[in-house]
Amino acid sequence: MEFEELQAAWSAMSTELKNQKKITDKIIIDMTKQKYKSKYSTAKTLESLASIVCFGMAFYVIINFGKLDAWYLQVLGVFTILFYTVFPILSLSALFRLHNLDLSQDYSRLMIDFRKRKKWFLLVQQLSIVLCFILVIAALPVAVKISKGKDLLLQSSTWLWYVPFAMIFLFFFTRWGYRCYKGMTNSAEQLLSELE
Amino acid sequence: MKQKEKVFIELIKEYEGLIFKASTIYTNNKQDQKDLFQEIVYQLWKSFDSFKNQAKISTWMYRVAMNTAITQLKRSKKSPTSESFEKVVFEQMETYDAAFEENLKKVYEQINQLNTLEKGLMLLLLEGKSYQEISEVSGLSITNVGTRINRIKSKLKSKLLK
Repeated sequence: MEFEELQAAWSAMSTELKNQKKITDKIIIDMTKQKYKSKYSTAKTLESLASIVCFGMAFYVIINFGKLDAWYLQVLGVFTILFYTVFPILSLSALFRLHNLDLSQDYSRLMIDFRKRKKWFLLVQQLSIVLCFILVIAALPVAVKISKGKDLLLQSSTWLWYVPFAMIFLFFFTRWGYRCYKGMTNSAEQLLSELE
Repeated sequence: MKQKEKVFIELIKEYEGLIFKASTIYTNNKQDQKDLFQEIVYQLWKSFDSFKNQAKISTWMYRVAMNTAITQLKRSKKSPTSESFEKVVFEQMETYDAAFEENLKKVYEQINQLNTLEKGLMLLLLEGKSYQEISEVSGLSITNVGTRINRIKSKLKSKLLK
């Protein structure tokens, strides 16, 4: 089939479709509303839940900050509060930037814009993974001091099992999580390569 | 109903065929096609305010349709079913013609061999758009559009000879 024949078949299909208008006002309104709801409910449920947990933790440390009586516990407390407040905001905003991509711009601009937003999103994830390892160490003495009044940094026995266990768990968990995000970017990269 | 909604609905009804065709070339089965159609309508609604006659209506619609299709493709990783393009198209039509269906099958077989960007360019080309319009939709330069279209044509020709 030559290109001209392809075009002729395509025009015949277009003419036929023009005469077969099936969409109604109600269908258009319904599909728009349905899409709007489904999009926002998924984003809200998954991302906001994680953020609420983090904000809750930060709030817990803030109201009990007075119990952290040593300077090093206060430093760890500030780090914990910052982590639990800054990262959910960063992560949520990076995700919403991805969702709110302007799809009315041309293809090449869209792909470049998309890659920038994805890069930023992945950078936030990478940074949070690194800081997560520090948080695992920082949050434990803070939590123990607040809940039990003990200074864990002066008792070495707990660290012997806690640190290796937490590190192994985090290693596999963050690797799995990051691979999921990375998978999303790979397809974007592939599409961008088609432009080159 | 608000005036804005009325205008939008009329626009979608007017360009229903365009959205339908764009959603069939990027999908492999009826369910995905329906989802993509719905997503394109939703994205058009979302960007309707920012449109404001900056471009030709059809240019804006092709842009949104193509961009939605490629971003949707990245999200969905469903395995395609055996249902073919022409069957989806024929379900939309009321008349049936075996020879016409055969021709359409060939058209979609050709399109299916192309990559994502090429599919978009092919759609615009088949719709009879000029290089200038294709350039406005894709963001590629007119020369680049010409080069790519020639490449697509020779790609299709070489596939036919094999």
